[in-house]
Amino acid sequence: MGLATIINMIVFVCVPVWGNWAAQLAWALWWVDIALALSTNVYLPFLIMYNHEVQHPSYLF
Amino acid sequence: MSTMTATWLLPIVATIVASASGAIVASALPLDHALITMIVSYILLGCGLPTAMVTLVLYFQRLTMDALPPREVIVSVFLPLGPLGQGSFASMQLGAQALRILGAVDTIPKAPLAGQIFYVVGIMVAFILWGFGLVWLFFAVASITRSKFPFNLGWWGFTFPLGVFATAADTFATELPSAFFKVLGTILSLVVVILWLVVSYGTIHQAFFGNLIFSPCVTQWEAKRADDMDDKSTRDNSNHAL
Repeated sequence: MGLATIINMIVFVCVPVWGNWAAQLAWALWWVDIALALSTNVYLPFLIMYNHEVQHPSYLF
Repeated sequence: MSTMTATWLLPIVATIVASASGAIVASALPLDHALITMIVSYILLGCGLPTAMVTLVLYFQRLTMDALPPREVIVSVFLPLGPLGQGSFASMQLGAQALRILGAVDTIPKAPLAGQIFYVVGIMVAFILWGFGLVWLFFAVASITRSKFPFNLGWWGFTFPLGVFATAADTFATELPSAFFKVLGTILSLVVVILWLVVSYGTIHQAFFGNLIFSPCVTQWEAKRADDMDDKSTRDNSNHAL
């Protein structure tokens, strides 16, 4: 989600100034972002289904 | 069930954020690339939003059948606003891109008004999601007024959900000629900025003067490990005695 924020700011700030290559950079980073986002989206819920013994470690859990 | 919290939403909301980001990236791309980006973003919204909804059902069940989260992690009651606010924002942004792209590219040949329909449905869905977010905002505000709760890094959970909720209100204000949403969007945005300042101050203050890096689950784990070590040393001693 942090990467998405960076991508948004590249579009809002860098693209008006630097033009096309910044837009292409944002697009490339966006493809990386969706790969990461989709993998967490499917993997972590599955982990919760599959592994009931472990207390899932996180700051907020 | 008592270990379930709204943090289960966090891996799911990443997809919704990527979808909203896709709409923003599409606005900077030429039509053919923007079209692919828009379609992928709609599919990503489909991966994220319904999954977030079913997780919200579980969370609702936990809150009603079990209890509110412990006060150390009570701020996580705001997290349901994340997928709903960001989903609302994504729905409008994607609609606006669809209006631009489908108006120029004949992707759905049998429906010449496709772009306008995507745009209008996007705003309608955004209203509905935002309304559902309002319900969770009420639950969240009501929950945190029930007890005093200590500052910890979990307070950063205030900023993202309220931030995207405010962004959705701001987007209503830009898409519609609505004074109400202009005022509400401004108020919500200011609230987010103030919260950000408060949480930043708390973080810096505790980094210098307190124990910032604190996790409730680690404290439990350390207590358990100390118990285990005691058991082990008692056992070792008894072995020596033999």
